[in-house]
Amino acid sequence: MRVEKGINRPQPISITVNGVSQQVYPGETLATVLFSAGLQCFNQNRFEQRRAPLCNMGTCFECLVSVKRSDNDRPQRLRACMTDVEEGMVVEAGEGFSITPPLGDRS
Amino acid sequence: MPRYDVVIVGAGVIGCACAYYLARAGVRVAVLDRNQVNSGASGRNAGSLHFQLEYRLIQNQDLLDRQLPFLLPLTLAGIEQWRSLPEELGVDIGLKMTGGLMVAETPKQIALLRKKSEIETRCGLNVEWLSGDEARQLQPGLSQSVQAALFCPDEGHCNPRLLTPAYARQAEAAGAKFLEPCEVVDLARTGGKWLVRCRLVNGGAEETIQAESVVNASGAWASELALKANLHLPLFPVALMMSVTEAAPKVLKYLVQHVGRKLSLKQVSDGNILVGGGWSAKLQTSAKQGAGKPEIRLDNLQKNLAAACDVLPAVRDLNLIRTWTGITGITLDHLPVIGQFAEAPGFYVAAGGSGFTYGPTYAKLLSEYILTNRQPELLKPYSPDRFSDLNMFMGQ
Amino acid sequence: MNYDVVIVGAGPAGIAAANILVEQSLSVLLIDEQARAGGQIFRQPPKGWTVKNWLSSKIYRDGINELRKAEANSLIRWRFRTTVAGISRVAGAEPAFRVFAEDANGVCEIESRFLLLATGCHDMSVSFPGATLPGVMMAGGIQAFVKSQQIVPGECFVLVGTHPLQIIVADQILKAGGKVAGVYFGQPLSRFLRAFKAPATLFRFSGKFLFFLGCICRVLLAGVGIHFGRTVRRALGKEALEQVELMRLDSQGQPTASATQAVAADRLGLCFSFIASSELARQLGATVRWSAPEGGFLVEHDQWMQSSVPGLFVAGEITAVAGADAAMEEGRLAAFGIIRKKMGAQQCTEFTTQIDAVTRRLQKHEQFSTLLRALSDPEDIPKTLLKDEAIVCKCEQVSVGDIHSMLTDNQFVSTASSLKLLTRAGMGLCQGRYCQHILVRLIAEQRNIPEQQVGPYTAQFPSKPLAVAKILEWSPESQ
Repeated sequence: MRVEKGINRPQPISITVNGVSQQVYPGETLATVLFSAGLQCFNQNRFEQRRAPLCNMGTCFECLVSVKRSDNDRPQRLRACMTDVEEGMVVEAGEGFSITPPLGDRS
Repeated sequence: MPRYDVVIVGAGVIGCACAYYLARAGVRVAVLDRNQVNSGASGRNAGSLHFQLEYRLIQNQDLLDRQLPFLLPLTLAGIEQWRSLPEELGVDIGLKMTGGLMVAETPKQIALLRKKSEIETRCGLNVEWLSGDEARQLQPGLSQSVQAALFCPDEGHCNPRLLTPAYARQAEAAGAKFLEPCEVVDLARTGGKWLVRCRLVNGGAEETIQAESVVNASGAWASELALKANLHLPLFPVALMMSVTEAAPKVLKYLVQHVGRKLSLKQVSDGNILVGGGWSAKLQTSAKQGAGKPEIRLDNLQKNLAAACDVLPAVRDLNLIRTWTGITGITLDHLPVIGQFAEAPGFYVAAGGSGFTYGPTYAKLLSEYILTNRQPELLKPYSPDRFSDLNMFMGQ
Repeated sequence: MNYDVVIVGAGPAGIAAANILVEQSLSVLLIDEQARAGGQIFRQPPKGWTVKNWLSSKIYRDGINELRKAEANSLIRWRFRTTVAGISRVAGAEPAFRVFAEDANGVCEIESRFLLLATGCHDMSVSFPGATLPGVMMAGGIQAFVKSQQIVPGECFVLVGTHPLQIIVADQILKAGGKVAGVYFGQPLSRFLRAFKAPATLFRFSGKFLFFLGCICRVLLAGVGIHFGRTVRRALGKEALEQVELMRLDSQGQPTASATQAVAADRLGLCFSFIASSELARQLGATVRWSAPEGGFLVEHDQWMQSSVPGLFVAGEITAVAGADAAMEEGRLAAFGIIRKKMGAQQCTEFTTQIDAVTRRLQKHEQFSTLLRALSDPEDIPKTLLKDEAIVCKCEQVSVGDIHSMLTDNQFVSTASSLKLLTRAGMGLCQGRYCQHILVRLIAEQRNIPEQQVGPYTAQFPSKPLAVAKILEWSPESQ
């Protein structure tokens, strides 16, 4: 669903979304990438309800996804609409991703 | 002029619980507050039910000696009362009395914990010594830095959001009247009756209410209110910070406290982890700026969270959702002040000192005092009479 | 890091203020959560992209000129993708404010003599059954995807609301190649025809009206129906939005007995009105006033845009939602207010002409925003949508029914903060931004007291969830 007419984007870079490599454009947010990949649901909240972007401006916190900036990074839960893509990012999102943080793996 | 048997000033846990115990006994009660029910320290504290000896008591032998004969009966009364509260109030108050751990991370802290354990065991408090590994086995997720812990099975936590409103609803059902938000302007005793002059917060209309007795349950502002009755009460406001993380899977079964650092940790039923322990915020002296709300001290917040993460490392992976402040009151000798002023018959107070853990107990005992006009044995060390020197030239 | 002025929000108000402040040699830092300046209205395509005819209408010209001027000014310092978590005051000292900010790398504290909050607004949420289904979005959010990210974020769109913006959004979706199944206004067409009762305003702002008429024509020519007196009743779908169920409303905004209608769509854009983002100002204790048509709790200010907190200035939508042109003028006025306070009133006589011009233009724009509010205020429609099973607090899953029964059972509760404490509404990740105004209205109605008396939620630190790890890594001494 990327608009093509009249738009010049920089050279694509690649990130990994749910284990699959994706070509994306620098300047895109993760929300854009996930919508473009056809994702309807971005996460499940702790009431096991499917959620997706509501505001696209960083206020609603409905679009949280799991992001690692590189393979070895600790995953962070970030707002997809406020996170710009970076080469090598590893993203987990969708109904299989629960925003409730895993606990206890540090001790 | 509206007439009541008892007017309670302050709709926190002590005020609402008093209202409940009195109304249930057929007393005509009115509760007034300049804000809402539970909007002060009762709703803002971190909800710990801590029955292990407090750090400052262990440090102060003299205080400890004077306190010990009273402390255990009071503690046992508190524990028993908490256990029966959900049934008594008939609603979920988020009570978890699964136990509490007080942890130590250094040899010095272990020594202190030992001393504490000996005193507690001697005076009959139910505590159990755990090695670091035993503590981690009991509470998975505790850090390797925990070298020992003292476990008290009677400790736990209760949700401060729910306790006071539950009391208020029961009090209302028993006939207590909750007045529109209003501020006490003046308190005077004439012809054996108390006249409470108050001003509505919304609109400013003034009204005078007559009462046989007045209960000062205004927490950190108890001294301010006492002065309106021409009494001195050496109780000082203290602003503390509490923090809460986002909801996480249930891991924390117990209340966790620290013997050498300011820390309390617990997880509420919704999954959020509450972090407290007595870190101070900055009290605002000018009510004009920020309407008197204490200011968060970020350096202290950082220290509080560091203590939390040192003990329960998983907290590091969470988001902080909210840090807020509450104002509690401490007396000159750190003990609560509960009872009737000799200089002002019918003027009662219950304030200061572990007001959440012991709030229901203070309220119950004070209500008994008001109903029977006899000072309960357990309240003896806490009478305002110990400050009567200050009131030599005061009173009604 | 120490500045004369930290401006929070690089939208029209913030950039207009910055342009003036740096001219007078004040050091200025602009902080914004977005990746580039412009705010929501001028949310730019990413850096390094070229987009032909981006916001090419004349109505955007002044704002874009202001934006380009600020971007070209090397004296302005910027911090993008940065969230202000909290602000504290340093009583009686200079600098007077400490701004606690977070970005991808961590947190830091920035000191500032003056503070200008130009934090804007967000789309107003409405509660109705199904409103939390994936696919239900804010119209402004959809627009930002199209306008900035250059994607059409869905297959088929339905727009529902009361604000004319939804026509513009529909036009932008269509232009970008998307499909719009219909645009539904809750109010009757006659509300819009009221505009013709103010011909002088129409004439004065003919550029805006012509632009808007152009949007309407293009939307209609694309075969998209624009309907009046209809609004959403339910959003339906198994795992995500599949259908929007619409109902008819009478001229008072009340549902009529006529049959509902279901429209297939995978995206529903809500476009009722806007809520001022006044959290940071409230965190600092600034006085606010409630005005539903102007954006909920708004920050009060004096003629120089200074709030009740000395040194804290405000501009743009947080003082009343009035659009980009008014926001820019308020930003300029705030800049003069700050200069005046810094240099003393006597030193500022040279600005008198400029200030007079700003004030005049501000008054002119107010005519427009007053008219726009009269046409687009949702009035009682959001209340009509509330059903017991509808969710008020989407983060903590608190329903309208929960709120009603809590209010019934706890007669002593009459403020938003105490109902929050009782219900957890507003305690979740969005910090109450989407439920506060609904809750406030519910309390006001049930207790029969003004919304002002109900008050907002107490705004706490941090303004948005903040990673504990970042706070631990912060080293205050090194600042």
